[in-house]
Amino acid sequence: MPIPWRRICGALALGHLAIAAARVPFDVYGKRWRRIAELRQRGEVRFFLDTKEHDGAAAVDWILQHTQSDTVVLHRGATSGAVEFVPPLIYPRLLYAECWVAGDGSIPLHRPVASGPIDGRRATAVLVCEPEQRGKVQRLRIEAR
Amino acid sequence: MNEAAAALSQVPSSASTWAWRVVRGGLIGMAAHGLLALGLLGAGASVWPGWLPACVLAGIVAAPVRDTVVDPRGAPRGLVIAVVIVLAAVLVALAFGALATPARHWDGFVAWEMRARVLTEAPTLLQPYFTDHAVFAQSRDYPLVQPLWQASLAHLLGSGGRALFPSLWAALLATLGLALRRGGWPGRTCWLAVAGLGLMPMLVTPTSGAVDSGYGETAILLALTAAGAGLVLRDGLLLGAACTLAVVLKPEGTIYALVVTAAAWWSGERRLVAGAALGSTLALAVWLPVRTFLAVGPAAAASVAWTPRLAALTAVTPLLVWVRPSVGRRPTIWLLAGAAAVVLATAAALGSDEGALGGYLHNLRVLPGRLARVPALLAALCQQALALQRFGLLWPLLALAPFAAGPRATRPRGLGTLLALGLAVVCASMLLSPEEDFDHHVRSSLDRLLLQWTGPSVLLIATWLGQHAAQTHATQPAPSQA
Repeated sequence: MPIPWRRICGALALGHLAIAAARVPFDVYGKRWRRIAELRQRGEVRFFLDTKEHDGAAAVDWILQHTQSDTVVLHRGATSGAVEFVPPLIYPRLLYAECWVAGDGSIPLHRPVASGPIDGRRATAVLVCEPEQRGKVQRLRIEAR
Repeated sequence: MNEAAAALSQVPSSASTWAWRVVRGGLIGMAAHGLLALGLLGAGASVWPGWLPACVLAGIVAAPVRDTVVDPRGAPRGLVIAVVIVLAAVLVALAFGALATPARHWDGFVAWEMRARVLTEAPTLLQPYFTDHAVFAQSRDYPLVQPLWQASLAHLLGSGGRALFPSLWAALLATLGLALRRGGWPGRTCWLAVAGLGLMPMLVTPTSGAVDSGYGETAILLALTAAGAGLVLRDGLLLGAACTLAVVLKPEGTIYALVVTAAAWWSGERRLVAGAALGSTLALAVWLPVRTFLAVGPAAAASVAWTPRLAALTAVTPLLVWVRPSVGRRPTIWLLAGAAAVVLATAAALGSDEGALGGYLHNLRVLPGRLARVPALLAALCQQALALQRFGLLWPLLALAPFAAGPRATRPRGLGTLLALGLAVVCASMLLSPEEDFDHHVRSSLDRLLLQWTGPSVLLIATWLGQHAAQTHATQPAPSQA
């Protein structure tokens, strides 16, 4: 007896549509709504940087609280992982690699370098990102330069 | 195929023609905007937000659409109502998801959304984010056209720049459905195909790569679906626009444009080869200098000699256009020589620049050593093929559909080649990835790369399983005129 390929494909097509349609209430709406509500409730900074993988919300809050919007924030350490979220969170401030800063502390962008109260004294700030290690929380912190 | 369809007692559909004019013209206009915007950015100018609607409108007004016959077999009213209701519900969710917050997923936020914010502030490359490599910029050399679209809409609509994403989804479904309808397939096939793609779980559930995730997957999926539509309808202009869009939207789009050109070349129709080759060449001519600027900075980019590279690309276009249809299908040696010419010219144009795509191309030399990863890749592919939560039953259906098609099925030339080459490129990219952690790369990227090819897959399945007007004509009496 020949294999009824058209019927099999018809059943697969209906199965595909049924599976996809069944996900609309719980995933398309439910899961999306939960994510949106979580972001709105916690704010962008905590949504991205206060998670099981990343611990950096306090460092970004420090930048937002103590620096003007046209400043340049120095950074060092890992360049992947938690630090990737920082530029959009602090924009229009820019994140600038500390290793490119000239010996006299100047940068060629003609913008102020971020500074503020760190450990009880006023200092130029550096955002430090720990290396990314699978299964471990990656931390961001503000240090004095 | 077209002659047989025309022989049916069918009437032109003005509604279909009008809708197709908007969709096709819109796609051509978006491609034109991509070329214009990259040209302006490359010249150091700003991109006026109004160029986006101006180009889309110009595309709709200027791109000619032939009035054509459509199969009179419409879809059952109940099916149409059910599909429209479900898709409208999904559109509401996607629009809300896009507009309620910024991007909520990794690359969508750190790469795509970030560049949209920078370009909303100032739509020019002459700012530190792009010119100073000490400034942290993730995915520095990614194409800028999608962020530019988002920035343009943000200017035009207030804060509604992310309305781009549900609009792309709607354009995707319109492209698929109308291409099938105008290609001669019955209404039921078109509506089922639209529902199958529009409800694709990975596209509409909130995950990385979904419509409102902010990633570039929906845009490149639209470009590849438009390429499939161009092959189904034998539309060289649409194929060219699709190739242009692929290049200017994502790094892998450059390879995809070559794949589309190869599929058009294999199909042997001069207008298709010309469209795809010209669309790809134009896009590469404006994008490659901008990419170099982004990848190596303005000083190093100024020293790159573009003339010989672009000349190599330009030289291969007439070769593709004139040689392939002339040699016919038999002399395989000519086909291989042509393919080699395309690869060499592209490699010459891409040069040795570092970057998202360069990292993969450089690993071509270590490919033999990475063949040991093939079993793991095959296992991952099988896992994805059965991942109902991402692709439903799409891939099992694609695997079995050829058996169901039968010898009389209408097979648009080049569409199968396009999909086969595209999926081969996806597999090759897994082996060529610069990322050392193979398992992590496969886990994080394979599903998104497969998602990009779901549009051509649904198109191909529909053409295999749907009963084309020409088949009906061959087996049944012609339907009465409406």
